Amino acid sequence: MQLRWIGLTTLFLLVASLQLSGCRGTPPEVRRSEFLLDTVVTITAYGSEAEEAVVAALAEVRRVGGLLDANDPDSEIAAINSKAGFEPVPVGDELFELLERCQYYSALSAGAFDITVRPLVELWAIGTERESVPTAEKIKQALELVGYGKMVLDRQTQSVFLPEVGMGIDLGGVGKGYAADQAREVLREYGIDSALIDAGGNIWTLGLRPDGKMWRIGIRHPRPEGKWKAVAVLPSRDLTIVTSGDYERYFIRDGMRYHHIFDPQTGYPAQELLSATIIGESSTEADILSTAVFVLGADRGMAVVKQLPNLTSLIVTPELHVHAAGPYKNRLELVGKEGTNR
Amino acid sequence: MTPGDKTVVAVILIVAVSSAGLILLWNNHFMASGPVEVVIEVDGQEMRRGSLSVSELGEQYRIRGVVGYSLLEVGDNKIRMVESPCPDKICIGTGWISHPGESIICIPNRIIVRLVSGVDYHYDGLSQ
Repeated sequence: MQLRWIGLTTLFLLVASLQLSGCRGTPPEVRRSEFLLDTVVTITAYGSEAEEAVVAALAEVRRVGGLLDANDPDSEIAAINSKAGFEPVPVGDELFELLERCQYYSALSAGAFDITVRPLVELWAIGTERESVPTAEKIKQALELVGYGKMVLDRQTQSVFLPEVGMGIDLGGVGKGYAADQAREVLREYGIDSALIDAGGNIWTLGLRPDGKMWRIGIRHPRPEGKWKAVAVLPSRDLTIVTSGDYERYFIRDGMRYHHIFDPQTGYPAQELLSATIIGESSTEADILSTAVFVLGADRGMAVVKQLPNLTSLIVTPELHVHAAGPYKNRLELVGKEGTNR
Repeated sequence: MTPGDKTVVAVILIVAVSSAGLILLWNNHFMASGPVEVVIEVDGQEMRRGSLSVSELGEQYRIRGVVGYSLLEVGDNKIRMVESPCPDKICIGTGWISHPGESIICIPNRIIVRLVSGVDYHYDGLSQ
């Protein structure tokens, strides 16, 4: 009789636990956030290896953050900047290759993306206590120190040389994208096939959600009103989505918005667009190109993107018009009324 | 098994099945219900899309159809047709609609008022 009761109780508990779990067998979710790269990096992954994978991926982001941090005096980037005007600095394979990629995209975008923009970043100091609108003279002086073409990348010695005192490299336009790509590689090495990486708004989607559906990624509306913070939603599988906008770091003086993405031609914050989004398969490339398109504006920006395969772009103009182009254009779900899918 | 055991098994099964039903109902009621959006189409063209609320549409919403003007009344998460130039007034007879999937159709005036689930715009991450 006692055995029977044990059996019946077990049956009851089994039925109850199946119901509570919904019988769905959802794989375990692991979500971790960390303050890295001047932002918050959140990685969500599913599967039995998720815990180890997420810890390792965040460690990789931390390593990349250190590698690219110009404000860390021990970094290679800081060494290059401090030797500007004096001598070339030998660097490791990883940084050298990344700088080569940056220079390639700088040429492709006619200098709209330029990692030698650091003198302007320092001068405007947006997001710091000393942010202010500099005089035209100061901007002119800083502009003379900006120019990706001046940066010498020597393959023989694998060294980097900035030929003028005061020049400097700032990888703010590519760092989050590169870190997201690296994190994604780590997750893949651990065999993760369902994950979401959010490196301060640079998104990588791996595989499908645990419910078997595509990830749904919102694209931030630059001037959100009402209930939707997104201007569009993209069902996404193995895609990266990166947006550059004028809303992230800025200050307002005399009714003008001064934000952190500079036009290397004028020395002022770029004025053409409110935001530019690139959807592709490399977050490094998407990060660079979202900046380039943001600076170049609708026509010239989209012309650059067209030269590269498999990229989709979405831009929001100062009139709040939305334009999209590329292979995923028709998959984009525009939110609300302010959009034409053309 | 004694008759007593059979009774116990039967009770467990009944409790299990009925609680499963309750859980399903609960999920449908509280988890699947998101914001409701209204889509207004005239002659196949989407004229208006927004949340089903007085603050968005006003208490009365007038639309011009193919035959003439129709008037919608907006309530607390519900909407109905109150005036229509059509002869049969089937659209008015539909009464209030309030759930995603419901619609008011006026064939003569070529107007469709459709409720859709606003959770369509839910997203897992935000690119910014």
